Amino acid sequence: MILFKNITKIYKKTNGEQIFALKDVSFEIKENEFVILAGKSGAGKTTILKLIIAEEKPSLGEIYFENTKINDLSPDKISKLRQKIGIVFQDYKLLKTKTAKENLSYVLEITGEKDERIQLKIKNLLSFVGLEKRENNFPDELSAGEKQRLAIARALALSPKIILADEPTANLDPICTFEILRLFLKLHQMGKTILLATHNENVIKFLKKRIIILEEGKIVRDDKNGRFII
Amino acid sequence: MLIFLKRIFKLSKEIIFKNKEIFLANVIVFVIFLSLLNFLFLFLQFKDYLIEKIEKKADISLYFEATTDIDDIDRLKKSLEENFQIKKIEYLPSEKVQEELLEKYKEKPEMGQILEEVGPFFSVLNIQTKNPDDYEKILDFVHQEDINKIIKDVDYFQRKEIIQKIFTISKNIQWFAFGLSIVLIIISLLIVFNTVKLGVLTFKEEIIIQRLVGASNFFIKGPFMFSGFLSALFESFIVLLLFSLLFFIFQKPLLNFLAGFNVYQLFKEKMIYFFLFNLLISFALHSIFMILGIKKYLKV
Repeated sequence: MILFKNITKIYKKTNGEQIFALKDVSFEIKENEFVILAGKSGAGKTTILKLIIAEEKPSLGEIYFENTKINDLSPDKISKLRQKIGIVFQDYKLLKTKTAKENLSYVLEITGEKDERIQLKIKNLLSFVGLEKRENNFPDELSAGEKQRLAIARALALSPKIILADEPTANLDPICTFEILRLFLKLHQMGKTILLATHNENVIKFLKKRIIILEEGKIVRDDKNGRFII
Repeated sequence: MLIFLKRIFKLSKEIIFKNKEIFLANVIVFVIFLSLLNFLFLFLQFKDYLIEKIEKKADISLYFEATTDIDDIDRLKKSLEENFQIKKIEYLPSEKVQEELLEKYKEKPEMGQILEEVGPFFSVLNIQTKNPDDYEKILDFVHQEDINKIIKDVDYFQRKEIIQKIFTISKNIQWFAFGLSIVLIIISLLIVFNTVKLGVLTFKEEIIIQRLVGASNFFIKGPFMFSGFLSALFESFIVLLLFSLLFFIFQKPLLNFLAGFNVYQLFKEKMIYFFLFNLLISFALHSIFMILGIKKYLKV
């Protein structure tokens, strides 16, 4: 489903200095896999996610999504690509001026879905993440856990095959963390491919899935069972 | 497509109503800018009126001997038209000159009596040129021997200096008006651009999120463009209302203050053009500045 072939990503500072965010990274994620991207801050986890949604372009190498090269897409094709991928961010990235319901409907409206179907989908999504009673609340009126559940519902809105999650539990307390992780496991059981970036050892231990460990932009380990400590 | 347009309309309403303060700030700045443009336009009209009025005062009058044949005057008139850039040339026979003077002083019968005693009056050729330098050349021209013999008097020398001053002043006014307009428009455009940019800045995070969740550029820009159109409509209407009220209320004092220039009448006659001009300018600026402001965030 996702293929990274010798990806190098270099950022240039204003003084001309080069920073290697990723160095010759290659891996493949197959359909219905649950993969954890682990590593310290600055190891390159977020860069990988940004490359998958074409928010960044690789300096070297090739990236494929469903057998299509996505190195250099036009703005319109980037929109289409992102509609196929559900994204969950550490800071939720919810539209603050819209209610929970409107945050979901916005994503559905992008695709030209009919109003009746949108309403039905919103109801199902809110019920799936347990936010039926919070549909008219604005993000600022929700707890951290609720915000993240809303962000997951939004990621699911367009029924994507894959969900990318960038440190989805970083701002959550332990109880909320495990609620959110259970949601991801449930989604995986429902057939979704999950790529979750984290630096939290407890999350890795709890999930026990394939883990790719990054260190200073390089893959240092790609293990099928997540039973070790970073 | 219809469903997208419906949604863009809905989102543009949200942009306006969920950010009332920003919308209001934009409207105020645009109303000031459009008012300034309209005032400038009216000022330029007033300037033209004033210059025309002033320049009308500048002319040269050739008085003919009572014995002069009308054919000779006609020939002179034609050759003047052929040799100089004549703005207006008018021949008044002696009877007409007398008639006009009597008409002018009809409310002062004692003046009429004096005029009748002063007569006879001479036929006159009043000439206005497009180029003030031509007056001197006309003088040289009419002083040629064969023409000079039919001319009794030339009314120019005593007004020469005034005429030249009038033309210098009118030229200076033209340049001043042009320079002032350019400076004011540039300053206003900078203010308008920054106000729109500030408005867009408050949507920065929202635009980035919309882009990240898969919204197309069209779907993001559309509501901004449409809200720009609604703002432009609202602003143009306010300006129209303000100017109509202002000119209506101060119609008489303005007429006196502007030396007979009927600004209310002009505005009333061209009201629809003013409205369309304001709408077009406002919508174009909203659109251009919004696109420029959003562009950076759409790169996500």
